[in-house]
Amino acid sequence: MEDLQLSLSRQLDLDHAGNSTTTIPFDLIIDIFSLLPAKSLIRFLSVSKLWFSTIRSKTFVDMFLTRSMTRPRLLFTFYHIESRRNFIFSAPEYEYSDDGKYFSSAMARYDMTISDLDHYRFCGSVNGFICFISGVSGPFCNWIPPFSSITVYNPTTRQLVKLPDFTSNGRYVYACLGYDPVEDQYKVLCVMMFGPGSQDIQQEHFVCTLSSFQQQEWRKIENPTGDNYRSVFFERICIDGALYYGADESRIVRFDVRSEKIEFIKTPHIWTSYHSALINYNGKLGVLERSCTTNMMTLSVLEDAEK
Amino acid sequence: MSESNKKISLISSEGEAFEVSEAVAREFEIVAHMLEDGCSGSSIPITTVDSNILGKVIEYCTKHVEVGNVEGNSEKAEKDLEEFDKRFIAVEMNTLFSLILAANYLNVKGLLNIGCQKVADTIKDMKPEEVRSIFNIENDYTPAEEEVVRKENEWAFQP
Repeated sequence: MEDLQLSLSRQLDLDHAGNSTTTIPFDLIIDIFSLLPAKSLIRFLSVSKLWFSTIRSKTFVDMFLTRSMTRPRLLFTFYHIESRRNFIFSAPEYEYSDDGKYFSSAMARYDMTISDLDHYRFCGSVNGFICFISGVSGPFCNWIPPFSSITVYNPTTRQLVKLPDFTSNGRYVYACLGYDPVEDQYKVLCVMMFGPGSQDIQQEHFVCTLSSFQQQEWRKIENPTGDNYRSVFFERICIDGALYYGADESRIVRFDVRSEKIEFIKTPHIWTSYHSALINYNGKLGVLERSCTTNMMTLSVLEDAEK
Repeated sequence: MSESNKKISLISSEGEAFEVSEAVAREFEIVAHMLEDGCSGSSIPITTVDSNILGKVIEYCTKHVEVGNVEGNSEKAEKDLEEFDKRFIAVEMNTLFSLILAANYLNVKGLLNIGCQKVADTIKDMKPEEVRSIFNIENDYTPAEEEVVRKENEWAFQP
């Protein structure tokens, strides 16, 4: 912040043609930064210390994110089994041609590669960050590795934050990445439990706040409802500071990222199939269900999440 | 707003007068504010902008006022204006910087935007050394420090 303030008054001399005394004030240089793609900005970190501190400043990063939000991109990943590498790509969500019509095809951009993932699962994305859990097998696989690790990636800068390892004691581990817009914090919720067949599922919830300044640690949180659920299904989705995921055939979990409270939302009816998805419908939680018998799609929308 | 045929003289740093319609002069927000504040003088000194650049900024504003006044067929007009902007801003770096500075001072938002966008497009694929020379920036990293920053972000140096 201080750097930015300081830099605003600093002017850069532009006398390279020898016949001009043009100077560009630094606030205009910041405007130009905001028009550059992330890759150029990352390269320009090595221009000077002032450029480094400006591009890396919270003020600028927030401005960049706000701007990016107006141009949403689809993130997708695929896993190459032989090389044990996961490739992350992104593509513009909309692309207009000159006459204002949609392009029918969009070019995907290669963003980054994650290597050495043996057993991993994609755990959702928020604001362009993506979360992977590794060393974990799926619910239909009976081999469970003894430990797990969760990593949050930023494909835009190719940076990653590895969260502290933990021991699951043989339990299934589910992770969800959430964002709290009020405190401007990213948190990972981690749920551990034994499979549906067990007597005592030993369900536990842990939260880790992402930070670049301090040591990250897992904090155990209580489930005040006192009610366990047997699974975590659907894509986790984060809307307006709340994480949602399917808990069982008639309930959705709502985890408030800021207060770290867990509550249940009753679904309008019992799930008819697992071929359903949670979606963000105009800023509200939507459940999209496909019925195999009637060949119909149903969309239910949660009108008042806070109620 | 009543459209008058009133003319206003804009005086460049060299003292050269450019006579423009009030509508064009109002495209300079700084001038628009002066007029609103009751500054009714018919000549306004623009002491920080030279004749060459002032002439160009006036050319830009005149075109935009003209197109803004044409009714109907807006799609074609918009396209023409885009073409005009593209050609207008295709100048060498030094002129570009002068235009940006003038647009910033006179508060001509459209011109400032296309100017900054042009600089961004030009430097987008450049190496840090090239950018330093364009903006005349002194490299204050030690070779070792610079190496560390580069290494950390090596991917951004690949094509």
